[in-house]
Amino acid sequence: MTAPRLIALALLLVVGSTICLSSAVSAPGVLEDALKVFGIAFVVRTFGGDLNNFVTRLASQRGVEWEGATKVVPIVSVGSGLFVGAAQVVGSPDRVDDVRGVGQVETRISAARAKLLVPINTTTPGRKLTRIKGVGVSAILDFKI
Amino acid sequence: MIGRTLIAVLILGICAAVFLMLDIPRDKNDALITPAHAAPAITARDRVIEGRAVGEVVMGSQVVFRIRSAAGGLSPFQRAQVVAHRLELLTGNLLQPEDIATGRVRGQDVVLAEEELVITADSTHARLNRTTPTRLAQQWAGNLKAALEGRPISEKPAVEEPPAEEPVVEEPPAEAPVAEKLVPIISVGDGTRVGAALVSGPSDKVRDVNAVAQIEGTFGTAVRGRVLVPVATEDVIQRISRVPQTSVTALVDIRL
Repeated sequence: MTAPRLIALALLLVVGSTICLSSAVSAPGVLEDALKVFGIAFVVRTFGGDLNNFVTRLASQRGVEWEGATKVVPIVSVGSGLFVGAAQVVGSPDRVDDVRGVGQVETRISAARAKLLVPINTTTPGRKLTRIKGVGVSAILDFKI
Repeated sequence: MIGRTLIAVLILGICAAVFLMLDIPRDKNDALITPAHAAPAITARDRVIEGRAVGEVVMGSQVVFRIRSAAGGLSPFQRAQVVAHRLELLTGNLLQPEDIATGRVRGQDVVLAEEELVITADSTHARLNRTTPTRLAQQWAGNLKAALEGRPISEKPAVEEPPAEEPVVEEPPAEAPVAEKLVPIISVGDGTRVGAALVSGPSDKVRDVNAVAQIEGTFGTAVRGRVLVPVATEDVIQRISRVPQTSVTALVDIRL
């Protein structure tokens, strides 16, 4: 292998490992970088645990605690398929385990515009979206990119 | 040799800079997602048929349910609005024909979507239709499935005209297992109203919800978190009294 190729490989390894190891570091700064590079879905998957702890801490500071399990998942705009944020869902552990995302459906209620938030079983294109019942949305996370 | 190395490093540096500037979705799940089946728009409309006020639940351009009797203090149109709203909220655009079924709730025949109540085939409407509540529920479920599949609904109306002399007996609608309520969102920091939210849960619990408390915080500079807690009192600065078994199902923007 020639020297330039070795250097290129080394650089790629450095960039890749920085991102991959970011979950272990769990610093908000790393999250911001990962957000810019890889987008919301990756960040939520990688830092989901940290984001969930952040939301739980935020709630517990005000004396709010949830029964059952919680989890942070990406919010998917149903129709466009874009990841538009993240949400913490709450419910019984087995049902929360099935939640892969929250589908956001825009609708109208009389004169108001509403964003329905439906916990769903998949965010993978082509798969049938199924609502996970008995799971609610307890927090919304907005990302500044 | 050193020159070639420098060139390679420069090229890699430029590539890395471009890569960092572009927010390229790296995950396969970042690709576009479209719902497997998009349900047509669900609306309610007010009509007068042969001098009688009628509420119709319309899916796309087809009438799925025609409600002719008032009940529980609601006019036929208001009942149609409730049913249309319920259908929309229960499933959004995710409703599939196979999710529609009939069943019994509190001893009454009902149409269910994803095992949740859509409409009750009460004895009044069954009588108006000269059928039994069970058959009426099946007919309505068939209408809903047909509309979802984009098939034309049978020419036979969901509810036939009653004989002129037959009195319409008002009956209260079956109590929904799940209820929704629109309440203000109140910021815990300063007590101001910052929007509205739709909360959902068992009807006896939802009744107790008077507001949604919003607790805000930031995670670094890129993430802003808003915890949404259905509460019994609007005084959320002193104390947050959460109503269990309820949660937020929609955020509502009201145009001023």
